[in-house]
Amino acid sequence: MDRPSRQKRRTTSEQRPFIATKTYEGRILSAVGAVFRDALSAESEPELAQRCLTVAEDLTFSDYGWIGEVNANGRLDTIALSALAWDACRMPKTQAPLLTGDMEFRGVWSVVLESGKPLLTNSPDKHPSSVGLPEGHPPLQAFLGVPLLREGRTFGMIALAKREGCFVDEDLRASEHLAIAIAEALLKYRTMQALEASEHRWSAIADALRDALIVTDDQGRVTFWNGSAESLFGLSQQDALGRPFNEFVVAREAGQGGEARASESQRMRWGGRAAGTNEIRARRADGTEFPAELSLSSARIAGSWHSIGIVRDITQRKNQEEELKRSNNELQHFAHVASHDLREPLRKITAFGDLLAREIGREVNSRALDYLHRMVFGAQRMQSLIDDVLALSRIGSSGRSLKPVSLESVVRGVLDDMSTTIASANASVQLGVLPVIDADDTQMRQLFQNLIDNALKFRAPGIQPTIAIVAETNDRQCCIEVTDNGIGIAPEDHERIFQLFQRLHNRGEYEGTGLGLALCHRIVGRHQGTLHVRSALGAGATFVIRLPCRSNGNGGGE
Amino acid sequence: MTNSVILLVDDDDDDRLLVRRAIEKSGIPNELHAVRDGIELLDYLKQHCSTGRATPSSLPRLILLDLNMPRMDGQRALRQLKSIESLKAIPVIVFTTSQAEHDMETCYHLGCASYITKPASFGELVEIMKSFSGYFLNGKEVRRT
Repeated sequence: MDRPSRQKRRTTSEQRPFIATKTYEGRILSAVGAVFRDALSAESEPELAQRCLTVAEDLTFSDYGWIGEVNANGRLDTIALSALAWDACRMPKTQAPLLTGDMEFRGVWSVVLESGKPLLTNSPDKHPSSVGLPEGHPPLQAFLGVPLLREGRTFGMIALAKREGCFVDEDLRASEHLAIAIAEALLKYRTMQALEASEHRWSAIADALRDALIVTDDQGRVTFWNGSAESLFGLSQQDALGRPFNEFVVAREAGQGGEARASESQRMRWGGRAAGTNEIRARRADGTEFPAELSLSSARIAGSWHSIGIVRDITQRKNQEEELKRSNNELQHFAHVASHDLREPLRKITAFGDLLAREIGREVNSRALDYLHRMVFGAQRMQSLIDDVLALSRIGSSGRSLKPVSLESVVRGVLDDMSTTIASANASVQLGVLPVIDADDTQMRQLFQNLIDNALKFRAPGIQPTIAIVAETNDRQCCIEVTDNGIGIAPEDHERIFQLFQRLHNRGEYEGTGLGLALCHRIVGRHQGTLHVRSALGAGATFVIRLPCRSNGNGGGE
Repeated sequence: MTNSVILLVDDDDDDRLLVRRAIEKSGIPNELHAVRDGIELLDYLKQHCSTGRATPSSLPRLILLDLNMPRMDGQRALRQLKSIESLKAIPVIVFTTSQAEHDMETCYHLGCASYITKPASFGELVEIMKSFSGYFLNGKEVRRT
């Protein structure tokens, strides 16, 4: 057949081998092959559809053709149209959109779309469904329509036409085979496009992450390595892919402390099913090391377990932690040393003041002696303040390990030590059954001594002081209550009493440095417990201590 | 024997003065001799009781030993003193500002007879000296056999 105009249209003039092929099957196979080849090389969906249409036209020796698809509204969108048909179209420009999009099912097309079966007619104008051609439409003598099917349902159609001559059954069968390939190519192309878009989106997100995102297969070999991983480890994704991730984790000798053991076990688990966050030592490509936080999770990808790791450089955080620890230690050391050195001159003031009072006491007048006594008293008070500060700083620094301590015998010991004070206050003390817990016995003694001392000190005038110390214990924690019938504490002061140097009363009324309860609070805190007060003004007070029965293996400390 | 020397080892002038006054006040008749550190202590002892010639009367009756001193501190002096056969029987009372438990434990382990924290008031100091006199000065001398 002579088709000069078509030759002209194909300026790229690629060879269509199936045109030259003589056999029927050979021509179909070549056409299907061309469709799939186009599907892989097409740069856009319209380009693919257009190439598919050309293959269909060539296969069936058609003059022009069209491919349409049913849209979301159940109407037809044109996805490919032969240029010849367009060139020959005499329709006014205003009617053009009618051909390209959102068209009704009309005429012989609707027969194909509604039946889902191909239609061949060599006198389309006489077909019962014919609605005639729109004005200016190129003439057609033969019409061949084939549905495009997806899982048995029609999603579009290919329409082919000849100006002159007729289609034969061979054309119909050939186009049916080709339609299967075209439908498949179009749908696959879309899936590929969607995958590609999703891949782009995903890698854009992965590269925008400020943390290194690394995926390894079930052998622990790197299969994904984002932009931050490249800069953090100093290694491009290309170079990292396929390498065991273990190369980037520093293995340490066993028995080098908890952190080392954690990183070791992490190393072993990397590559399998794993989850959790650990601190590790990571190694850059150049061999330098840095502290990192590794959050590990796992997912089944393509049938095998992959580890997904997020690695964050925590050098700065580690440095800050170190700095904080050092400055805390320095502060504690300073408090300790300062307190010691401050005590010395005070002791001298007190001792020589005392000596002075004895030596000249009988010679000077009573006013001078009073001044001297006030001076010595001030120095003594300063001394007890320093003693308390020293005790407070020791709670932080002496990280003695916690051992089982019978609180009952601790409290009995305290009551024994304080028996003179208790007797002179005419106080009655009830002691319930107290548990044995993991604690620092010295600090427990300080705690109860301060609380009992507090209860005796703030007794209500004219009432016999009573103090009750009772406990409730379960598997995990104990709750000890120290209750008195003293002057009580107003609710607005309940927080304040545990702060350093806070006094609710004038020094003339009640003695004390204002450190006792702060000390108690700190002791309980160091034991991972809580201390609070239940009280109202004039209604006594109950100090509630909650302590864990078992320590978490270490001595706490701060 | 009641006139034998009480030896005070302390680098602090004030404390030496206070102890001297307190001893007078408490009526202890013994002579007080003061040195400033561990080295002076050992020098004193060497002078007064060179090997083989040590007689009970030439030895101090009691040593009051401060801990925190320059050159040779109290613990080192105590360790050396207790390692010398002819001197180890002298009762040593550690007399210090340190309230640290480990100081106390170490000193008792090294063989001090008592560990006293320097009191704040002069009255207390006098009381302490009186009790020393009861424990260490008036009793019959304990002789090694």
